[in-house]
Amino acid sequence: MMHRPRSLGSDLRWWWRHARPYAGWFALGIGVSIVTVSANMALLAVAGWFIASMAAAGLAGVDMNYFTPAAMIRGLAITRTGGRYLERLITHDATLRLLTGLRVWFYRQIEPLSTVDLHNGDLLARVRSDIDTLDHVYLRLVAPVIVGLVCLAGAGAVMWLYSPVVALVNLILLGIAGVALPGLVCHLGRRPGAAAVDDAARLKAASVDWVEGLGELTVFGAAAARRTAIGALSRDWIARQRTLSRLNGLSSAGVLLLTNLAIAGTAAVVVPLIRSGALQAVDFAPLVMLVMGCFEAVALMPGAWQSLGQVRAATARLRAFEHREPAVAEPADPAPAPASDAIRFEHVGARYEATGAWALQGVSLDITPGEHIAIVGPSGAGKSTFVNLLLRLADIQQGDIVWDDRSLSAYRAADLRARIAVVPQRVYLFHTSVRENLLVGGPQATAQRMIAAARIAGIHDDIAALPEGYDTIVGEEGLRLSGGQIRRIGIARALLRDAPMVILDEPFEGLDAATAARLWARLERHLADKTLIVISHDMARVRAFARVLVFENGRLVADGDPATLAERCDTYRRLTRAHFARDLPPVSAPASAPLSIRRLA
Amino acid sequence: MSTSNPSAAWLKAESEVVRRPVGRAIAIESLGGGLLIAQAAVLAHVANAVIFAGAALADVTAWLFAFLALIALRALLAYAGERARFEAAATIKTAIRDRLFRQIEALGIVWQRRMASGDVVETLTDGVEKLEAYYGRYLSQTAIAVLLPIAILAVITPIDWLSGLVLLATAPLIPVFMIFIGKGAEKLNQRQWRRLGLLSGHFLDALQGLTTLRIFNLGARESRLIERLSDDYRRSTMAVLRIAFLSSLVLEFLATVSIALVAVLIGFRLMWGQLGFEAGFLVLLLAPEFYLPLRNMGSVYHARMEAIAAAERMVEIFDAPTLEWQGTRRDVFAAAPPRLTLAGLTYTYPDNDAPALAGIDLAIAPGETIAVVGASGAGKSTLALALLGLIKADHGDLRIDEVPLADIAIEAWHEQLAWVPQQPRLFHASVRDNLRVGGVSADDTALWAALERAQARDFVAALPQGLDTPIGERGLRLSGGQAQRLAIARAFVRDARFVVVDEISAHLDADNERRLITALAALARGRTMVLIAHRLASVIHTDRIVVMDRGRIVEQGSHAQLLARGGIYARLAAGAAMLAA
Repeated sequence: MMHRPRSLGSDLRWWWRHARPYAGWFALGIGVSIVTVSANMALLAVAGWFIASMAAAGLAGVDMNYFTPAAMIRGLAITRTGGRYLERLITHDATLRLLTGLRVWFYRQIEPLSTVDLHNGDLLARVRSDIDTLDHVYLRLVAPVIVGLVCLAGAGAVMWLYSPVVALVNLILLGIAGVALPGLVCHLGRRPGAAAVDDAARLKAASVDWVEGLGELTVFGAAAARRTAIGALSRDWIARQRTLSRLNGLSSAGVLLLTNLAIAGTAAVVVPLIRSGALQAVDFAPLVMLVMGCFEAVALMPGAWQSLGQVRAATARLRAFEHREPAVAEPADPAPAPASDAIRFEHVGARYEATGAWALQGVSLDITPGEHIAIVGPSGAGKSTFVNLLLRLADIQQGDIVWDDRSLSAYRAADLRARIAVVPQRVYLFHTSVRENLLVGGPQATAQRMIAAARIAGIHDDIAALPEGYDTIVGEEGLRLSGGQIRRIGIARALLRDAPMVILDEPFEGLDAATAARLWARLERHLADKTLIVISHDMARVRAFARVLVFENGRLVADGDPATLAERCDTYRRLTRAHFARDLPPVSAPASAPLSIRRLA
Repeated sequence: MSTSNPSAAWLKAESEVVRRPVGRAIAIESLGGGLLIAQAAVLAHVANAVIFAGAALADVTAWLFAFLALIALRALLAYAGERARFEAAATIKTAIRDRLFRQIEALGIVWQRRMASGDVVETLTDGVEKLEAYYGRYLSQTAIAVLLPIAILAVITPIDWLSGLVLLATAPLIPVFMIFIGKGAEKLNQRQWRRLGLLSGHFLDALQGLTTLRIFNLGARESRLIERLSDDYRRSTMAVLRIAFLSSLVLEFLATVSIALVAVLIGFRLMWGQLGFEAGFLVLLLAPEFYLPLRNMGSVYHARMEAIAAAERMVEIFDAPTLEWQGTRRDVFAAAPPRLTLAGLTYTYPDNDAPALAGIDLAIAPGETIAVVGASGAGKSTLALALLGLIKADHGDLRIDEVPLADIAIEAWHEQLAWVPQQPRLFHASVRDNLRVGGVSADDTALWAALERAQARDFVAALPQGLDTPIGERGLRLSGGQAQRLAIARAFVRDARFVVVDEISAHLDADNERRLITALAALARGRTMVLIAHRLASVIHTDRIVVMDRGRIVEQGSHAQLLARGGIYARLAAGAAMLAA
C-alpha cells in the first residue's frame, strides 16, 4: 500500500478536521494545563520572594505583611494540585471522544472497499494501533507545545518587568533547551531511528520464519545456524538503539546544562543590577526560583518531537485509505430491486489488478431460478471470483451479468445482497455470543427461527452442549470451535437470511462423511425451491447434482450433468479420480432422516 | 511491591546478570544527586552573599565558576548514567533473547506447533524489549528513590529540624501511596486495559469480519455499534480514571503542599531570626528535589508492570519440558539408502487421550518407496514426524539399519534425511537461499540441476530475478504446487538417502499435477522414501501402499491387491472405484 507523505500543514488540517467537534474540550484542557504549570512557577517565585523578604524584615527588625504571600503560597499549591487533576480528566476525556470519532470515520472509509484490500490481517491490526496512536497528537504534541511555549512566554514577560536582559538570556537558553536541542537531536536521530525500525522489522520477519520453519530447519540441520544469524540481527538492532540512547543521553545532558546555565546567567546579570540599585537585593531569590520554575515547561516539549514522527507515520497510513475507489461503484440512479432471480453471464471477465492475470474470463451461462448447481475446479480456477461477482464484492471488467433483464451495475449492491444467502469458504465468527453470530443472518429473527435454522445446519445439539449454550462467547479469543462447527454456524446464519438464492462454498469441509451426508439431506430438502450454488471438491457429493460447472484457470471448461462430464470433460475426470476421500465414507449410507428434522416438522 | 508473582520473581532473579552495570548506574546517579545538593548549597551561598552581604559580581565569581563546574559534571554524569542503564538493559536483552531462541529450539516440534507463532515472535522481539524498562529504569530508579531523599533529609535536618520533620512526616506517606498505587491502581489499570482490549478487539473484529457484515447488509448498523461501544468505553474509562488519578492527586498534593508549608515555616523562622537565610534558601531549593524521584516512581512502576506481563510468557517457555535425545552414535550410516524397522511404535500427544500411533510394525527395505494413505487423523503425519526424529516414540522400537534411533546422535540421522512437507515453509529470502537450506555449499549449477529434476526449472527461470527473486512471506507468492516443487528441489540439493514427503492435498490444475508426480517419481529413485499420498496417480507406482486408520496400519499391499480386498483402501479410493463401476 502506498503511503504518500503529505506536508505537515496538510496533516495538521486533517487532525483539525477530526478534532473540531471537540475543540472546546481541547481548549479547556490546554487552558487548565497552563494554569497548572504557571501556578507552580508562581509558587516557586513567590516562595523565593517570601523567604528573602522575611529574612530581610527579620534582620531589619521591622514587621511585614506576611498574610498575603503566605495565603498566595497556599492558594497556588492547591491550584496546582487541583489543576493537575482536572487537566488530566479533561484531556483524557477529549482524547477518547476524538478516538471514537476516528474509529467511526475509519470504518466508514473502508466499508465500501474491495475485500482484497482488506485481506491483510496485519494491516488491520496496525490500523487499530495507529488510531490509538493518534491520542498523542493532543496529549503529547499539541497540548505540551502550546502549554510549554505559553508558560515560557509568561515567565519571560514577568522577567522583563525586572530586566529585559534577564528575560532575553532565559528565553534564549531555555528556548534552546526546550525547542532547538530536542529538534536537533530528533533530526540526528531520524536516520538511526528509521534504521532501528527496519532492524526490528527484519528481526521480526526472521523470527517468524524461524519459529514457523523450525521443523524443517531442524531436519535440515539449519536451525542453529539460523538462530546465530538472528542473534546477529538482534545485536544489530541493539547497536542501533545504542546510537539512539547516546543521542538521548547527550540531549538530557544538554538540557541539564542549558537550564542550569540559565540560573548562572540570571545570577551574573542580576548581581550588577542589584549593586547599581536598578533592582532590590531580595529580587535575586524570586528571579532564580522563577528560572527553576521554567524547567517544568521546558521538560514538556522535547517529547513532542519524538511523538511527531510516530503520529505522522500513523496518520499517513490512515490517510492512505482516504479517497480510495470502492471495489464496486454504486449506480447514481439505482433500478428497483430485481423481482426474479434469472441470471445470465455474458462473456464475463474479471481481474483484481488492472494488469494482473484474469481471475475469470469469457464465462457465459444462465442460471434459472430454483436451479441447483455444483461448481468444481482446481485451486485458483476462479470459483470464488464467480461468487464475488454476484455479491458485488468484485467488479466485472469484460462482458456483463444480467439479473432480471438488467445489468448488475444498475442495482444497488445492497438490493442484490439481500437476495443471496452465502456461506463463504472461510466463515468469520465475530468475537461475541453464538446467538449474535447467528443473528448476523437475520437481526430481527425470533429465537424459534434461529434454533430451527441451527437444527437444519446440524449445529443445535453442539451449541446446546456448550458451557453457556447460545450465549457462549466464540471467535478468536473466545471458545475454540472445530472447523466443522464454525462452518455449520455459518450455514445456520445463511439459512436465517431466508433469501431466494443460496451459495455454499465448501460447506462440507471439516465434517466427517456421515455428518456431511445427514447435513446434505436436510439442506437439500429445506432449500428445494431456492436457487442453490454449491462449490465443493467433494466429488461424491457433486455427482448428485443435475448440473455441474467445471472451472479451470479462470475459464468455464464444461457445463453439464455429471454423467456427460465424466465422459467428455478431462478436468472433471481428473478431479474425480485424483484424490482419496479425506474421510472414510460410511459403510452404509444413512437412509433414515435425522431426529431433528422430525422435531422441526 | 510484592514478588509473589512468579514472573516478578523471575525478573528479579535474572537481574543477577546485570548487577554490575545496574550498580554502576546507581553509583553514577547517586553521585549526580550528591552534586545536585552541592550545587544547591553553592547557589544558596551566592544568594545570601548577594542579598545580605552586599557582594558584587567579582565577589561571587569564584562561586559561580564552581556552580558551572558542578553543572558540567552533572551533565557528564547524566550522560554516563544513561549509558550505564542502556548497557544493563542491552546485556540482559541479548542474553535472554538468545536463551529464548535456544529453549524454543529445544522444545521440539509438538510444543512449537502448539504455540501461536505470532505470540512467540511477539515475545522474542517486543516482549524482550519491554524488559528494558525493568533493568534499565526500574531497578536504578527504585534505588535512587530511596537514596536521594535520605541524602537530602540528612542535609536538611541538621540545618533546619522543623523542615526536616515536615519532609520526614510526609515521606512515609509516599511509600504507603506507592503501595496504594501498586495495588489499587494495578487493579483499576488491569480492568481498564481489559476494557480497552475488548473495545479495540471489537473494532478489529468488525474490520476483519467486514466482508461478512457487507454480504449480510449490516455495514451501517455496525458503524453505529462502533460509535456506541466506543462512547461507552469512554464513559467507563473516565469513571475509572477519576479514581485512578486520585492517587497521583494525593501524591502531587503531598509534594506541593509540603513545599509550600516548608516555605512558609522557613519564612517565619527567618523573620524571627531563628534561621540564617543561606540555610533557609538551601532548604527551599532542596525540598522539591526530595519529592522528585518519588514522583517519578509512578511511571517507572507502570514500566515494571509491562515488563512483568512480558515476562509471563518467557517464564512459561523456560518452564516447558524440552525434547531430549541422548544417542551419540554417528558411525551407523553406509553410503546406501537405509533400512528402517518399526516395531510396536506408539505415540500419544500431550493432553490427548487417544494415541496418534497405536503400535506400528513396519519394515521399509533400502530403496523402497512406501505410500501411506488414510483418512485425516489416522496418524500419517505423526508417523512421518517419528521417522524424521522430530518426536520421540513413547514405546516401541525404531531402528535404522538395525541400530535403534535412540542410540544415534539425532543430528547425524537428520544429515541422512530430506523432508518435503505439505505446506513447505518458504523463508523470506531468495530462491537460492531457500534451496540452500538443503545444502549450504551448493553452487548455481547444482541448484538449477535440482530444479530441473523437481520440474521447477521453468517457473523459476521465468521469475523476475531468477534464483535471486525474493520469495516467502513478504516476497513473491507462489502457488501451493510451485512451493511443493521447490521443496522437492531442496530435497534434491540435500541428496539425502531417506526422504519423507507429505504430498499437497489441494486440487491442482493438470499441468501442476503432472509435474508434481514426475518430480516425486524422480526423487524416489535411489532413495528410501515414505510418501504420505493424497493422489491415486502418485500411489499407483509406489512399491507398497500402507493404509492407516486410528494410529494403526490396517492394510498393506499393491494398489490392485488392496482394491481387490475391498477394505478401507477401496473405500478411500471410492472416487476412482465408483467411476470405474
